[in-house]
Amino acid sequence: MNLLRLLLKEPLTHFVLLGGLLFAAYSLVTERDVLDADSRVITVDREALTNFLQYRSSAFEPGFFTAQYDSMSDEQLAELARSYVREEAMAREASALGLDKNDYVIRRRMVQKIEYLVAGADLNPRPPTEQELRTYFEAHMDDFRQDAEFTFTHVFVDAEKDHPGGMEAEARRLLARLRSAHAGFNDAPAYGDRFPYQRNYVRQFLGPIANELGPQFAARLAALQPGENWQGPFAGNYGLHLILFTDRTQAREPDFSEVREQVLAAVQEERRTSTREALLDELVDQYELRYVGVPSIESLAGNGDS
Amino acid sequence: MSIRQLVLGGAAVFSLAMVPLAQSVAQGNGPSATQLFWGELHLHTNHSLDAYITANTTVTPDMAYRYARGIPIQQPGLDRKIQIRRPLDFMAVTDHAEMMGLFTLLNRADETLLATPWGRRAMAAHVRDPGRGGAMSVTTAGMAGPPAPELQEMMSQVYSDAVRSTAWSVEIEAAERNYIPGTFTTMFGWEWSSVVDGGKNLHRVVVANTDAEGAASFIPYSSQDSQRPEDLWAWMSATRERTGVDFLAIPHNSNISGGLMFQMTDSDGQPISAAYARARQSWEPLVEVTQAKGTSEVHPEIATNDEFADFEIRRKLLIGTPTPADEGDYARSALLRGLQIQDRTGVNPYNFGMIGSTDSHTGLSSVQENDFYGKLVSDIPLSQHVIGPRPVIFPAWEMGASGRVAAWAEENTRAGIFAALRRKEVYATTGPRIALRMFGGFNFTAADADARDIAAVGYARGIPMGGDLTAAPAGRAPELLIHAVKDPLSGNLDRVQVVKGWIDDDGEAHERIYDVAWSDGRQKDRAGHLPAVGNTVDLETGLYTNSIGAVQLATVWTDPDFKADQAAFYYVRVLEIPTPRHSLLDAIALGIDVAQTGQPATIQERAYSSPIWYTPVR
Repeated sequence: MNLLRLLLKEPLTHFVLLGGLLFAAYSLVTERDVLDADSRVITVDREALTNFLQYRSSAFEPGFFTAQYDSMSDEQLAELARSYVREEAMAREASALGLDKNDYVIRRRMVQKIEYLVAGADLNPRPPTEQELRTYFEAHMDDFRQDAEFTFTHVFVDAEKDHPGGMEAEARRLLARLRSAHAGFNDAPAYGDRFPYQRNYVRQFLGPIANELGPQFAARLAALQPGENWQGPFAGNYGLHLILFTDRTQAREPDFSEVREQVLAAVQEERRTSTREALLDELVDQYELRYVGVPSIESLAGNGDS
Repeated sequence: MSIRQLVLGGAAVFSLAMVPLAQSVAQGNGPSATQLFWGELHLHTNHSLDAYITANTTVTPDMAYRYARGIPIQQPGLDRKIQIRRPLDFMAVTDHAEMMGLFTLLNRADETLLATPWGRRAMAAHVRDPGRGGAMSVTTAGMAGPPAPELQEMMSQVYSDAVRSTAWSVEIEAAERNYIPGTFTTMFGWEWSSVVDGGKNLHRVVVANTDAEGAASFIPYSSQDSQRPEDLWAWMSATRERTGVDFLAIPHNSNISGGLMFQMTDSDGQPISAAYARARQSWEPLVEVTQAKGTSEVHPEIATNDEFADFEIRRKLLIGTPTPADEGDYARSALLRGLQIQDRTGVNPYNFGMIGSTDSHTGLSSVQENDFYGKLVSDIPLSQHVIGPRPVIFPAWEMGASGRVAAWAEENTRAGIFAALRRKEVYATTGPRIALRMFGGFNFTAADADARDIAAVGYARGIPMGGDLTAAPAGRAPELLIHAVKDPLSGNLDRVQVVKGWIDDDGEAHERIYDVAWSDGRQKDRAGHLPAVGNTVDLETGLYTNSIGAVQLATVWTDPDFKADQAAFYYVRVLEIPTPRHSLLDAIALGIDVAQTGQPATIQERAYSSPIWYTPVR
């Protein structure tokens, strides 16, 4: 038995790719299956044992283990050969006794191979028509809905700094100054403490705003109306904010043309997934299914032949 | 989040939309309008052979980009849709060039391939054992360097220029389709996967600065063409000459290079020459120092005085054999070696900046400890940790949920991001979006740390990370203006450190670590040691609180040990407070003792700036 064959099927073997298994690979692809003819002969040679060493160590590097093999004393080699012969004989006996049947680990491995085949099925499904795209778009409008966007600048009062009279008083003083100076959007950087994140939030969604200023701030903002006056103070994660909230767009449903590319990608991915599903359904269809006291999906859906 | 947000782009559009306003308020017209963009420059899809055989059969380059943009995709390995929490700003899919896309070409019965006897043989093997052995046995030859004579025929058929072009064109189309200038930048890249000397990793990610047409003007250079970095540089040089396309090569996993990544010699064992050093510094201005297979900043057995050096250290080569600590493996010792080689040859081959990326083979760029999809698709089902044989070389819990590349760029476009990479105004994090500014100069004052706009001060009176200083005014030492801000969705900051390396008058290398800013008003002890920040992680629930640590730390630090005639580098390391490692969260979910994961329960995530160098006047 060619242990290398096993090796090459190990999940870890992709690291072997990086090593020098040239000849082994070559012979593997060219040889035919030869497992049954001499199944009672176990050949113990240098190749078998260096492979055995690698497999046992789960480290696949021929040079390293050839060197290890070559440095072993006769006693060590004999010991290694004994382990190898035992494992080999046990594996063959188990196979002859049919112990590989009804073994869930082996079963899962075989299933996994089918899964690979299915996953590798044609990844270029039939291109959808414009009408199909529109139908998908309308049926999945929630995926394409545009969230509300907010534009504002803010002046920050840092909770970690000492302000005369406290943070609230400082915020009120700043608000009065901003209002009396008729401070505009681009005047904000001259006021307040350094905020760790952004000064201006332009056409931004509520989620990222909540990440940086805090959920309590985002909730307040969502309830406000835009205008030309400074508003606040509003509490955030790191202190108080005075804001000039200039613009908001409501959540809306986009036109199909705006998101056509995204719809196309979504449809194609869905088709690839359903191709895989269809293949598995076809596979199952090749079997006669006898449900005994157990409902099938089809019978529950009311369209099967129970 | 809805798909629509991807169109106009989640967090990214925000950055873009900021540009006009930020510019209008910036002081002067300097580059302080640089914005922080977050990216991934090392990601594999089902186009990489090893990704495919570890169960990533479904995530294509296109899906990988769409996931990074924030579009929901079908998760490989599990039957459900997933969506990234925070979209990225830029990304390069970087599949292995070696036998790129072979399995996907077989899956679609590519005609070029099947027209050849070896292609048909590969197909037969693929059908017989699609997941693993099969066609891989053919392709093994492809990743193992120049083929033996009897295999050249096979290579000429399954790895012909026609086959390589077909696979590369899929990558080009995916990058082009997902490029939204200003919102999401895609770059053309691949991995050159050289492994020499029995498992020693010399891998480089190659990134091209071009458009789709330029990308189609060459075929990615692979380790099948040559395993020698010098040959890769020669190819980049010749290809730039021929096509006008510029390239960068970014080494990664120097930590498992068996000492070969940052040698004092070239590939032939000759001492590094000025010509080698010039080629290396022009083609390899960056090194990826943190990713799933560990960090390559420093090793605790090399930097014995660095109490934070024992962090996500990997001690096995790609083939699983143990590897000892080696100065040729780590970025900090390489930066020191660079100064020494510069002393001898006049050119520093190792004056690189530092970035992080994931090297994930799932097609999913994920770095959050509490939202980590592993290195391999086969890691994704949690049950695999406790049921069935555990992989020995890459057990899921040994892998790190890391890292990210952060770029200070003037715009989120291919040109803008590539320029930031070229000038090394980029840095690494182990995942969290820690914002980090560092400027060096001789004209800062302590009050600059309090400036409302640190960048405006920094650009006006200093140079940003990645740059060079020289000619210190008499009596002045280099000053670093540093500002670090926590990731709003991650742990607070513990401390900011400056790592300095220099060579003395005898050419001896030295390094020292300075704690320069820290949280909670801690006092250093008599020996100058800063006490630990504490740990709020609840090992039962996996929760932590930001009741310790700082939201932001800023300082102006002046080198207290400066000598104007000694070459030096400085980089900044920022540490978060301890937070739960992904393996702890798995252990809690599985109801097992965290000790069974073999990993620490908590980690201190971190950021590494690119260095600033000081070079004495001759």
